[in-house]
Amino acid sequence: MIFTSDQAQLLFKVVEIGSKRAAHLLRVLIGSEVTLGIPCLKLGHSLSGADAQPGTPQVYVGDCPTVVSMTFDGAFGGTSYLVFDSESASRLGVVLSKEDPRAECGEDWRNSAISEVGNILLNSLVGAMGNVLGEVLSYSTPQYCDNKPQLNIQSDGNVGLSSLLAGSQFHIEDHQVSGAFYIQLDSQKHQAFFRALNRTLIAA
Amino acid sequence: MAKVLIVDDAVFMRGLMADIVEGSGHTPIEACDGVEGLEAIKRERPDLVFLDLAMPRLDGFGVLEALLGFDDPPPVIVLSADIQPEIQKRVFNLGAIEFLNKPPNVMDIVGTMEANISSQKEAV
Repeated sequence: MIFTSDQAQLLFKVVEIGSKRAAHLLRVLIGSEVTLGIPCLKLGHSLSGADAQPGTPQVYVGDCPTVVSMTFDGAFGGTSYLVFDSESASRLGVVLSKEDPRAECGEDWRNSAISEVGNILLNSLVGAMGNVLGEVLSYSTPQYCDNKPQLNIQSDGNVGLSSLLAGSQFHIEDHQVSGAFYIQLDSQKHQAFFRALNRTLIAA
Repeated sequence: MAKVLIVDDAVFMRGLMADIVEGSGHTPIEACDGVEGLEAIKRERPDLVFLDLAMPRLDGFGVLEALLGFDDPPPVIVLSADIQPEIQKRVFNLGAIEFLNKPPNVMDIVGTMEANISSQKEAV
């Protein structure tokens, strides 16, 4: 399955809208500037979007990633991920603890706080996609996973042959926190996703 | 001073909201999912409810549906990360009086809370 140039550009735009909104909300939450990377788009082992945008970054994996995942379903479906390396997750926990006096509750509190950050950012990312493509999506509650990566991403940054992955990296300079958010589409619903892309392109 | 129930599965969010409610001179009550939320509504008879949508056991839609069967349900403000317009329409159809997006903006939360607590007092 290959993207047309129009489809790739629309998907880039959708990911960019969702990523910018997510980065803005993260900035609101922690009160620090958030730098966003160039949106990343991968289909199987080929950088299908790279033709449209050379220099697309590698998928961020990091060592011992902390992952918040949230599935979504509707006409198309998949899983969205907020990924940090473990040090970034710890540092973000410290930043968030300044907002809540109950933070002394320790690791459970930190995991809950990072899950909620994932809930907010991933809703923003996936919600933007659903809104632009005119599809209502339902979401699972966010799942926090520490040191047990469930991402279908290989160590070289590639994804499985049938997977479509889109997202963006971000960096919070003030707190030395790096992470990324991604959408991985359910391969069984790729056709419905491409139909939604085409519908939106025709309407535009 | 009013009783304000916060129904959210995220302890972090309940903490932020409880701080805002307390800072406004009201009493926060907390519930960690929809089941506990409905129990707290029956038990505590809050003046106002802040309700999350995505929760385990019973979600916010389930709470709103259950409240349709109450004689005198409290006003409910939905506080959710969901940005889909269709979801907003759905919660309004189920009786929510306001929809606010996460993360909570202190000014919006306080303004909406005070407006609804005041209008309730005037109605009494």
